[in-house]
Amino acid sequence: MAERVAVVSVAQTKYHQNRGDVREAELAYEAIEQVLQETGLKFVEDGTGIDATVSCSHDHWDGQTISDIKIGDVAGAHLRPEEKVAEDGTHAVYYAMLQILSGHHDVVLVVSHMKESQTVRSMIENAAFDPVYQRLIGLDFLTAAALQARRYMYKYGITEEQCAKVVVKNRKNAQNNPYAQAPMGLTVEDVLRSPMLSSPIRQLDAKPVSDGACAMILAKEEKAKRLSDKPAWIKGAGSCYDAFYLGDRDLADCQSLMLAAKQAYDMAGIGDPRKEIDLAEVSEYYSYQELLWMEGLGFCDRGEGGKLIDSGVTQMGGRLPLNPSGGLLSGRPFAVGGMAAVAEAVLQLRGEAGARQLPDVSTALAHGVTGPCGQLQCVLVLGKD
Amino acid sequence: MTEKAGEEFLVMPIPLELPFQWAAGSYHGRTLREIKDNNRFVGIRCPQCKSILFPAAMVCPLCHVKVGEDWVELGEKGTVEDFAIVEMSVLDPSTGKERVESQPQAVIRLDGGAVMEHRLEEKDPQKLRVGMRVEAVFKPEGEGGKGDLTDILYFRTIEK
Amino acid sequence: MAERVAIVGVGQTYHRSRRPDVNQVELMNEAVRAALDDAQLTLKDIDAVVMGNMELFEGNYLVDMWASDGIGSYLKPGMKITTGGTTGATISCAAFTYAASGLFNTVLAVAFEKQDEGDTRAGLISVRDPLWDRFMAIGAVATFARMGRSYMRASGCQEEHAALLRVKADRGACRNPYAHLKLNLTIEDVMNSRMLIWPMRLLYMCPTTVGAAALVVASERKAKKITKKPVWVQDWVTVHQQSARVHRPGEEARVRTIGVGETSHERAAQLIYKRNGITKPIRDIDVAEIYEPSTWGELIWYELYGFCEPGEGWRWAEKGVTDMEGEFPVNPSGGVVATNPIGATAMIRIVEAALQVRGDAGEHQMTRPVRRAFTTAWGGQNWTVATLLSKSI
Ligand SMILES: [Zn+2]
Repeated sequence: MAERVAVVSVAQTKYHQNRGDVREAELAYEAIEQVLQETGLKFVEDGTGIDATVSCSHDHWDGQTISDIKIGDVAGAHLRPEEKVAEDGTHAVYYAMLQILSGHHDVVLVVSHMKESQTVRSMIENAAFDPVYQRLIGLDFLTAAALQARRYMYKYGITEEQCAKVVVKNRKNAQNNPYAQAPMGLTVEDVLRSPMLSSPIRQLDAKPVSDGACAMILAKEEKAKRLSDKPAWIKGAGSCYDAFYLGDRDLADCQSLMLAAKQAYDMAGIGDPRKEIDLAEVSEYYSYQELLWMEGLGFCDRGEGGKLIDSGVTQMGGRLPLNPSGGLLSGRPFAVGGMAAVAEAVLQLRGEAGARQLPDVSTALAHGVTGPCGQLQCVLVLGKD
Repeated sequence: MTEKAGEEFLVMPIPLELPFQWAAGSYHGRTLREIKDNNRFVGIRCPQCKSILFPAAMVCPLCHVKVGEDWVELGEKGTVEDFAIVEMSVLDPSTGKERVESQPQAVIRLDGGAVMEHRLEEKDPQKLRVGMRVEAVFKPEGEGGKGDLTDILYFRTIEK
Repeated sequence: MAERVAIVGVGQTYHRSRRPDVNQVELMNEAVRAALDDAQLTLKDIDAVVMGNMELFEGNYLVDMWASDGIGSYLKPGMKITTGGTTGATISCAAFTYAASGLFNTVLAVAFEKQDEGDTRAGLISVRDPLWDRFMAIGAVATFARMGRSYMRASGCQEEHAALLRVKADRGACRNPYAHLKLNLTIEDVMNSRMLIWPMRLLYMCPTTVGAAALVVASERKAKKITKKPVWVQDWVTVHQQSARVHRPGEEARVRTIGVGETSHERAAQLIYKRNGITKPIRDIDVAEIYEPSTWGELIWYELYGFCEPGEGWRWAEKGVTDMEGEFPVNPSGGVVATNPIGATAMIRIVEAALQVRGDAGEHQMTRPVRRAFTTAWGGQNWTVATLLSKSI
């Protein structure tokens, strides 16, 4: 590939259970303002500023048709381009990267916002299912995830304790992340004693309701080097859909993630992710997903996710720390979640992750998920050089 | 493609309702609060291009700058720039039901410079004209102002 | 551009008011099959799939999930991109972007709307700010009625001029096998149709349509292998306008459109003309497929796109400049007032323009050769997507 693309600036709001004090645009601008200040970029026409905006939000969550209407004004859209990716934020980053690779734009602002607190998650997620076959049985992404968790645990002998360990690890990691919503010192027993939501998923196995925004600036190589001393290069990118009907796939597998990871690894020239990736930020809406996604990403063999968490490899200080930021389980909204994963990867690569900074990070992976049971997967590999 | 009578195919009615709690934020929220508490319209002025944002917003979309605190009173009187008599039945966004829009809709330029859309009291087409002077009539006190534009009943004609 | 791209296959459904014989995914599948057949490809040849619609209209959240079986995104990369009325064009641009990036050779873009399954008016009302004027929202009818009123006041345009354009659109639609409304209209029919909000009559407004469209886009090296008639994508551009109500000191609202200052239509057209050496559209462009949700919009937007001088739009209608046989044909397909499956509408502009460039539009094919076609889309709270398609690179 001729052109290379880097993330030159990232910013997040602190994630919070209810940002009733701000409109969506104001929330988004908290993050946008920081990346504008860090880079000194402006929305100008002379080719020295930001060329385009890619936003990420959802009409259903915003209760507004064409939800990007709300944030265009603060995202520099007036008399300029803006397009909205209606997936998790990793795909917005992915699309911005393609815009630069296509030669159409040099510098792109990406912004995602979400206020989960303003409506009811289960009602929105129910609307993702086939209206005739599935909706009336009351499925949402939680109950669908419970089916997936049960199948995964049954097929590979994964235990509730192993899932609980993910929660304990991520909530603990969050204690060193000033943006995290709900850092907490927990024990496996605390998780196992928390109320059951949809068996086998308990309250602490699930991501809390969260509001927040994330913004970043991507640039082509020549401009990236001028805009930042520490550009984080997007070395690999992958994206893949799985089957929609839950019965059309073995929920204990994650074929779409394996394919998305393969695309990203091939593009980045990664032969053995277990050796070549220094850390990963994965989107675990539910605790079992971190184990399952580790398998899909090739960090362990199929069915070995439980053993990997037992071994301590994915803890801070382990060989392959997972979710040093605290992950989604520590509170991040959908749509923003995957972008926050990219942001953490960038901060770690730049050595700006504060108390949670890992030593010698040269390659980091960020992962995002959209849809029920991880139907649409996105994998981004970022590197220092 | 087959085009058969619709009755032959199963059609499932599924009503979809979603409850929302929308935050107004500090800028838009102040515009709404002034309507509710003080029956007046306030916008905010951009420090750079001097445009008035009404309802108020945090960032001027033209200049991409934060607007600060230059609040502007716009007055409750204005001039009709455009009006329309709605002859079709419309869907009421607050109920999801059909309703007749019995009052003319109008674009009103407030004396303070900003424009708002609302309804006119005057229904007689003969008495409606572009350029007519109008003023806002608010709900009487105690009739449950909500802090939105429905706190204004309509705009009434103030001169010939 | 890293890689030049071409449209190598186009497809659309026959457009109707209701399609109870198919669900949403089956509807999309019809357009996908048509586009693949047109390109003489199968799903195996497709590297990525992008799609979109008006998210809220059918009430489906993340409809790309349900659609994956019907549009062929299963085990392929892709995403959903939604930008309101422009969605169909934005998805097309996304497919151009995917193919131009160098990462994908052949990309499928799918857009649809099944308006018989949701409440479009409810969807459109929810464009408006719930914390401001959504309570009195009526939708696009009121917006375009207002444009029509202010245009008539400012320009000398009479209702007959809109009626002339409406009849022109119907003549196109009657020759287009896919069009929704084919009414054999006369000027009298149009001017006697039901008044909604003056001067907007029922027939000046786009219909509620069920339909889907799809494009196959390929990178240069692949395109030449796939077809002898690639339609080259010369350029594409998206331009927004502010959505906050901004009132400039001393400036009255622009008479010809809503909002103040330069419009997204003007900026988008000027930008794409400038980048591609177009100085006189009437000479440099052979046909335009524009997105006119209302005939009143078409009249005014001729001026904003710079096709003609300001104030001249209605005179063009009078002279028949934009008729299929005229000097500068606009919407030989019949346009949006004849066919409007919203999420797909903007893609249909590109599909129709591509057919004209190829010479494959059938009965509504222009008799003159088409070297270059211009398309637009309009959506959101005033934004524009414009593309330029060309017979040669
Ligand atoms: Zn300003």
